[in-house]
Amino acid sequence: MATLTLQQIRKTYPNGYRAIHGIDLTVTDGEFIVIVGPSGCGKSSLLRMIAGLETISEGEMKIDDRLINGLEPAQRDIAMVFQNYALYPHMTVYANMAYGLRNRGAPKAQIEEDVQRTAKILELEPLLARKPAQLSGGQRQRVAMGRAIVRDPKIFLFDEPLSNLDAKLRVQMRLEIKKLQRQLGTTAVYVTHDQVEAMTLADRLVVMNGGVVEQIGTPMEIYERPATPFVAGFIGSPAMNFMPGQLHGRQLQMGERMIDMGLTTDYRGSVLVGVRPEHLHREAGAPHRLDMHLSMIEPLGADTLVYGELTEGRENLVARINGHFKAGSENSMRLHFSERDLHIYCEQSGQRLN
Amino acid sequence: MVENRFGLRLLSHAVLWLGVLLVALPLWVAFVASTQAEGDLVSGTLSLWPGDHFLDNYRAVLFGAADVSVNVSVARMLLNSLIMALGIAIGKITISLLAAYAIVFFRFRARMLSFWLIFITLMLPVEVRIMPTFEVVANLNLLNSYVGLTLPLIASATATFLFRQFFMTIPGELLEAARVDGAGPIRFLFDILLPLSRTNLAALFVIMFIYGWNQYLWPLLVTTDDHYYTVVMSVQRMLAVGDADVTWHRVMPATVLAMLPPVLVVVLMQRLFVKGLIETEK
Repeated sequence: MATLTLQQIRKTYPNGYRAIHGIDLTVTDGEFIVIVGPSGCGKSSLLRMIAGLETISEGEMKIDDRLINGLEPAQRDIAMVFQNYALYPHMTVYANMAYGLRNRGAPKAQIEEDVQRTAKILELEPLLARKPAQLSGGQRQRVAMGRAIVRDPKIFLFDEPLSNLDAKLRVQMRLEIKKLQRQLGTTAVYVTHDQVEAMTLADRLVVMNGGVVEQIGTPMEIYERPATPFVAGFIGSPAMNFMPGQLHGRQLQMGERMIDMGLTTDYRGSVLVGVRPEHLHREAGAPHRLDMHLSMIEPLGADTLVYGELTEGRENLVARINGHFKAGSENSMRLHFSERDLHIYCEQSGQRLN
Repeated sequence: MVENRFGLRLLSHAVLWLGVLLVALPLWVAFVASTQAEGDLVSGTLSLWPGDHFLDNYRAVLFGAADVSVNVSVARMLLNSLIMALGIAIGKITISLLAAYAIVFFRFRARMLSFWLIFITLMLPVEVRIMPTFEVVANLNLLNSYVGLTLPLIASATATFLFRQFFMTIPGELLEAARVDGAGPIRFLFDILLPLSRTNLAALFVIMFIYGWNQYLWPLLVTTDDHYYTVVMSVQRMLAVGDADVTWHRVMPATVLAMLPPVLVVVLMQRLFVKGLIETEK
């Protein structure tokens, strides 16, 4: 039960590298925040700063109303789940889970009770006497979760906890983490580079790039109205298509085509026009169209990905076509889209215009 | 492909047996000689079967004065050797464990400098610096004492280096998990690092114990009082009799007894670290 407040948090490493350039974030009580971004964007540094494993160069960090900048990890009342689980190899599952409580000087009976209760939640009871080496990957993951839960911390921190699991287990654990967090109502900060994890887990998503926050919002807000071309290209799979265009007030010009966007902006000039692959349709239901040369087809089962080039302009294009798509002899196809599904960004500033 | 021809097997067995004989024969001869009566060994013929003075000879050296030139029992020498070897082994492990712990897990000024300073002492064996070391020990009035025997040999670059290499293989996340769990430096050392180093500790203990046990030059220098003689140097002393006859019936039992403790340590500790190797828990 806690809120986490970050004010103008910055991180500069001793070698002068600036990893984080001033982040403001407020995590409300019981919220599940996912920080997502490409490798090296500073998301792990940020999480480690919240954990107290990295020092904070500038800014204020608070849990509830307590300033935690200078506190040791153990004093912050947080629990962290690491990517490689970081279980103590020589200790049994029980001892692993009890270790934090023991260091706090909790009475033995209390430890016993807490560990048993947590083991019950995570269905770890039959494994308590085992050592980490005798567990499967999923079980180790569960023990790592247990070690975090048992301490009843104010905040859970997850550092890419699922990236060492196989695909099936990952989906399963993802659901479990979400369910657990709901059930316990504990504030959580979760770092990942996997956007499916990000979309499915988050109450709110923080998209980071190059040490700055590009956008904060619910997963659907971010999907539907990405604030910058980076967010637009990063969230969604396959990535959004970008094409050049010209904006003349409310009219968008793409090649020969004029599209009335109904915008109130008075911006005129070059823009980046984005459209998601799933918003390109073969059916003639949408008002606008474009033609593409086919180069490759990837059937995914439920959908088919069609790769190619825009006939005019030669931009690479991906479309996600419903159902089964059989390539005929023709090597080009016509796609339809609606102006409502376009994302328009200023080419210079990257600012969203619609 | 495994060849399974009779001739080849015979040959390889023969080679192996030859090797065993080569190693075992001197030991056997030493044992046989230790059971002969006084004078039998200098008579010119060496029997390959034990004589009938086993109990007499061993009882004599263990409990009586070992020799005319060494006025202390072998039991006492064994005790001295044991104290020295244990002191060196435990001291070396403690010191180098702590040194490596500091170097690997703490960020302090001149951390790398400290490491290299320790590391370059590897280049200087005890023998090279034995005179200055002797001088220091003598000035501190540590001649003829257990401290004098063990202390100068305790600092060990080798062990520090081995521990450092091992500590560096411990994943950083383990340290971080421990920090989140509220373990300070001391707790981390005792609860996590030491249990994980168990097999390394066993291996180093064996090596260091034997190193300490086999010290010859240093005890020879710092002890003049018979009561601090170690068994290895005493054997040499018993041989240095000038024109008199070597009392082989006393030297040989002392030699055999001197060999036993290291063998015992290896046999006992080997079990522990084989066990450690089988339990793959890292």
